[in-house]
Amino acid sequence: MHKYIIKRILMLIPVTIGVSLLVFVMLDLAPGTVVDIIGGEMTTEEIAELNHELGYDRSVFYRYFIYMKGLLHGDLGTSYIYKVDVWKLYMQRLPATLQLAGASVFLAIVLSIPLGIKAATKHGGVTDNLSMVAALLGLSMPNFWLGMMLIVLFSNQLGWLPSYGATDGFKSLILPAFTIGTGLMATLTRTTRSSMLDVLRADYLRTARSKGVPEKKVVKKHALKNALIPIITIIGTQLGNAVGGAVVTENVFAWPGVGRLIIDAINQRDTNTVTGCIIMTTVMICIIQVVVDVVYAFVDPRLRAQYASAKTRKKPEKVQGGAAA
Amino acid sequence: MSTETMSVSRKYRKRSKLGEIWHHLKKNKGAMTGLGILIVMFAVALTIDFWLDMEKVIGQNISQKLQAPNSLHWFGTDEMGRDMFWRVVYGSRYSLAIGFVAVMVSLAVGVPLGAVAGYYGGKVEGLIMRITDIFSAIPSILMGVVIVSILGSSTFNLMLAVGISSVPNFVRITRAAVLTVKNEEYVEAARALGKTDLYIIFRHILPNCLSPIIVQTTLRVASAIVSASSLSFLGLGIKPPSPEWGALLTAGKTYIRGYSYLCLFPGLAIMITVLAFNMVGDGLRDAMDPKLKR
Repeated sequence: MHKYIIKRILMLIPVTIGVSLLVFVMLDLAPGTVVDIIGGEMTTEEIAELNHELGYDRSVFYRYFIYMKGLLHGDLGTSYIYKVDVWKLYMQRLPATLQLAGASVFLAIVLSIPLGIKAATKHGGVTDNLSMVAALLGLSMPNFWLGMMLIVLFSNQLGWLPSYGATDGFKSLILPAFTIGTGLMATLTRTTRSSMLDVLRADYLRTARSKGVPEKKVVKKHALKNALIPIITIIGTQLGNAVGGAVVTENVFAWPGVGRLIIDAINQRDTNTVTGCIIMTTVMICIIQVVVDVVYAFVDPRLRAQYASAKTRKKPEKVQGGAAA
Repeated sequence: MSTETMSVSRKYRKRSKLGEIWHHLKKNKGAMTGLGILIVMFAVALTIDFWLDMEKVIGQNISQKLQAPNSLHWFGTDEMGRDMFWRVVYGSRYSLAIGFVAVMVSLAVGVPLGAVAGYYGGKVEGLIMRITDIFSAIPSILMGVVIVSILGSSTFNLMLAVGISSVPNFVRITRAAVLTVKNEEYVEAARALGKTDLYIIFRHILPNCLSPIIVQTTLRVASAIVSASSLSFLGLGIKPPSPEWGALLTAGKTYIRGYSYLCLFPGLAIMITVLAFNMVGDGLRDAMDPKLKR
């Protein structure tokens, strides 16, 4: 297991190098530089000096090399616009993003898994059909539009919830979390239902039923446990997406998260901020994946065995060989 | 042969693969509803220039501005007095075109790369898949934002941006599909006959990997429409006053407090279109691979 986790973390190195190079080259191809944004009222000499200071008079690869040298020392660079460490900037915005991602995934888990189970156990019934129609609608609804409509209803018409920002604590979180959560709920309900349907047909469930195990226990203890792997995979993927890609929802609700920071930085050509934040997002997604893999091992003993080190795996073979000899 | 035997043999005659898919698809009510919606939308989008007076879409009439939906203006009017119903109807042209062209871009780049990766394996596969990993490490909406920033905002660039950001999906799916068929006997037979790799990939392998690619294409058109309207909403795609649905939402956002219908109808239009594509996509998946049927 440890070996596996270390391997996953080591795989981050080439991805980080690739992602940062890609972002550097792409932002270099975009017209204009950050100097055009911050050097509005500067003289030509000052602009030339700034270009030299930020490395814009050299090639993109030179700037990339300097950035990577800093990254090796754990330095994500300094934001050209905010004049602070990108790390600090990222850490300021991360709590809001994590709060939103956590709340939306929590909402999805709490509502979708019971609904998915119910739909599968009552396959072809009213609950099943209704939940599948609702899931399809949830999947098809553009997030930002749903957010806008929720603002119209709950902020403008009813005046119950704030329409933007994160200043009202829990109240501020409800609408954006529901906006992101709807898509997640749809995917998770479909996955839970489909995974449960697979398992409910399995022979071992028929055996459990024929032994007289009550249906509730069959579903909860035998079926759900075996159907959990795809459900956990989807939760992990969705959490990763919410951590990295809630850009549009953050924009609709003026939510002070990482997504908005990255969009602003792209528009201002703040290469260090974009690269630093995207690297951190990649790291976050990788951490989520590793956690998901660890959870797999807890849920499924078969996978725990697969993760076990080569040494432990070889042992039984030797014993078997010895016995045969 | 008696008439009865003939009719039975006609009933059970072997269907072509396409006929088999259609046979399964037409039993699926959701997919047929989706298909019906899409056929109507395509018919409207393709012919609208012939029967709609453009004045209805772009003609301004300040005296009629910001009217709530009524019998004359079904979806109300915008801040310039333009009829929202016709603007939303005309917007289907943009959204369907963007959805299709974007997915064509993803297909054109992703399928050959995935096929080469799956067919050759080894270092070629490693290289292609690692590059794919790097591209997919960046959230697709951010990738879209960066690409539009590089190319500038226009309809075609929006299509390219949305298309490029979905390439990794097609690479992965095609590679996985190729891996399942590349060791089949007919591929070995083609190789033994001295056919070139390119011929084998395009003539024998890809035609047998079409099911997952077609399903993914249908579902991706739906997500491309949403991505494009999201980018327009962020101010990076098509700009108002073009009646693209995302642009209509951006324009309506300013008036959302008092005139929410300006945002309601373009959003509903996006939702219905995406829903129709998703229903057809789900139906096709069930029809092409009954094992996946849920």
